[in-house]
Amino acid sequence: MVSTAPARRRPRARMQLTGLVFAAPALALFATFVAYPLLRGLYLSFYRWAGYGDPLFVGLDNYRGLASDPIFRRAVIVTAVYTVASTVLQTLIPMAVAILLAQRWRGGVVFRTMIFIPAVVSLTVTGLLWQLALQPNGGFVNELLDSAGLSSWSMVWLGDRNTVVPVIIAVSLWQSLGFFMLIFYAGLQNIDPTLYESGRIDGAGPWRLIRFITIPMLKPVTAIVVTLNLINGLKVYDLIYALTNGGPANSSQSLGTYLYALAFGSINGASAAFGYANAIGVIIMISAAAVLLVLSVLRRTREA
Amino acid sequence: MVTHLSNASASSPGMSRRSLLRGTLLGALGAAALPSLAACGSDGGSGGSGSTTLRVWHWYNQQEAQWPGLISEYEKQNPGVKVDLRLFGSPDDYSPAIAAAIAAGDPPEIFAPHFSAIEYGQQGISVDLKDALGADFLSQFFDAENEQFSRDGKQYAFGWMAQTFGIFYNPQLLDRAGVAPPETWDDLIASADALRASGVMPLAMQGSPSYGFTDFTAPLITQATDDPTLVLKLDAQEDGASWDSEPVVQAMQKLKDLTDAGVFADGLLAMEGPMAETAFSSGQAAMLYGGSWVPQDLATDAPDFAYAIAPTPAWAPGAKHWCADQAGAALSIANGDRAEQSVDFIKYLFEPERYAGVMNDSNSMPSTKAAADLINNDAMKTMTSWLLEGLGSPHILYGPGAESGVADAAVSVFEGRATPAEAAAAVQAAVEQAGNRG
Repeated sequence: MVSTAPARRRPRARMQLTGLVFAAPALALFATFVAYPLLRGLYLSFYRWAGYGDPLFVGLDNYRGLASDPIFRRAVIVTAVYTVASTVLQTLIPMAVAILLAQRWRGGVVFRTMIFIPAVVSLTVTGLLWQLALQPNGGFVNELLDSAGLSSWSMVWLGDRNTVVPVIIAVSLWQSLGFFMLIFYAGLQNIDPTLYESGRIDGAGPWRLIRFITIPMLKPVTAIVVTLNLINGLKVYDLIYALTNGGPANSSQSLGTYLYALAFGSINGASAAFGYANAIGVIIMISAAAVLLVLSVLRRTREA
Repeated sequence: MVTHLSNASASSPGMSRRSLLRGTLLGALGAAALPSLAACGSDGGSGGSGSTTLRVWHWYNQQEAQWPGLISEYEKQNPGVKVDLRLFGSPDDYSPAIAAAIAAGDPPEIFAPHFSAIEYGQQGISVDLKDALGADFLSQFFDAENEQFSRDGKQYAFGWMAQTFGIFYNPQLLDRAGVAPPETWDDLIASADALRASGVMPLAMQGSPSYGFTDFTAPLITQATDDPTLVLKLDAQEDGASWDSEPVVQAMQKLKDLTDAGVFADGLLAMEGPMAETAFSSGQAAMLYGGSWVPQDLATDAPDFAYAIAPTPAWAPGAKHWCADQAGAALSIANGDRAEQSVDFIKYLFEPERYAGVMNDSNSMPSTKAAADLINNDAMKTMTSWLLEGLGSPHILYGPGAESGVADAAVSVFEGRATPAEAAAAVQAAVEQAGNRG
């Protein structure tokens, strides 16, 4: 009573001011590094601007241009395929691996550590490593296939339009498996063991235990993993940039790499297309927001 | 104890809140003042001490070992000037940094203009060098380079290193296959089977990123017409030049003929420049199509490797060996109060013996005619001689969509997905599409 009484007597305005002071640093950082760039990007998407001089207002021309841009269309497809495939694979496989490792078999810790190691390697380094491994002449993957008597399977992995995107997805899975596995593994530790005991008493086998206890209990963790994968997929840039730079001939160009090439690369010649690139940035942002909104609505509907 | 603590907690929060508020406000004021305080102590301009800093930004790391000595000597000669070199790892690292500096209105005093030399000049970001350095000074550079950076009687950049492309070949592997260095493209096509039969790939080059195909295809357009201005007109879409015209179709057809004959290395579309050089120096490929940076790379990466150089094959017997030229490595001077001191530093760098020494020490191709005469390295001497003979052909495309359009179309021909005529039409369509980007 004694300790709480002064707080009740605090003037409301003073409390608000105190709160504001505490929030100010975070608000300042948010305004500087999130809100302003976001609004500035939206603003520039309606302008033609090369990064110098005065921007020229062009209304919706940049968005109209995107509608008829074949590279943009390709980038949308690549981004969508990458996002869906990486979300599915980078959710189901880490979950399966985590469930396997949770069985506490001998050597599990070593295996878990080995799986996690790629997660601490940056995506750029991952890209460069795999670029070397996937080289058609003397690369590790083709050499391995040759030595296994599977020479006919050797391919120009990153130089073939048919294989380049699946290979990028596979490399992404290799890189992120450990991270997402660890999230699921942590989630598994929070499941009450008595649920499994009850299940076993009721005669459930391993598969039924996983299906009716593990997977439902992992729903909150799964939602986080799916959300992270969706966001990472929609803004995928660094791995593709390091592996293929969007090639060959734009066949692995994602929205992120195309945006970068327009703003800082030579794809637009001597004058960078910042306005056009910002229009792509706005589309990525809207897509991400829409996907997250749908997920949120689905989650709330199920919870209701 | 409890009461004391309560009393303490009742009285101290007010004080701590005030202290906190005061501290936060002071902190905020301090943080707000930091940039201006930092500016006071910055060496980015002429300060009260009378010292001036010249910032030099580029990615031309071939002279990484020579720059410290150059700067140190200049600073000794000019005690009031500090030269701050920022050497980037690659054009990819450099581009966002220079774009941000220019967008912020604070470009470095001397910088690599990359693709935008003329645009920066026309916007007043960099100075007209005919005024700043003088026509006499600029006349020592190769004409093609000066033209590359000139528009409407003004020049906005000059070459730091020149560049030509040629065929590097492994004499042992050619002898073993019983073929001679190719004089024409048809010779190269005719030798492909013999080279493959001897167990080597005929020709490696950069296929990834795809602009390696632009470096290869653009000179073919010049070769098809013997007109080095055509590529410039196509790039600028001037004088009715169109990418779907016959010379471009012919160049694409030549690329198709070379592809169909199996001239190019396996896995070309995944072959980055360094990997192409490795394929060549390790004996996987008998020849390499590459630029004048290759001797520098091989001197470092494969110093014992014996190779020779031939000009870019000609379109037909007796025709000119047009080769890709143009200075990819150029410098501009920013418009500002330190332009005069920048000019002084540039003139210091290009004093003939000093500049030739730097180019020789780094196995680089000089951009001035005088330094070309002083080159020691045989490979570089050979490649520079093509410029002196006037065999240079443009290959760096500046127009919106041109470089990537040519690269993508050439890749489509290489993959067999487009006919030469379809590829040529696709370039024109890509250029027109790019014109709509803002």
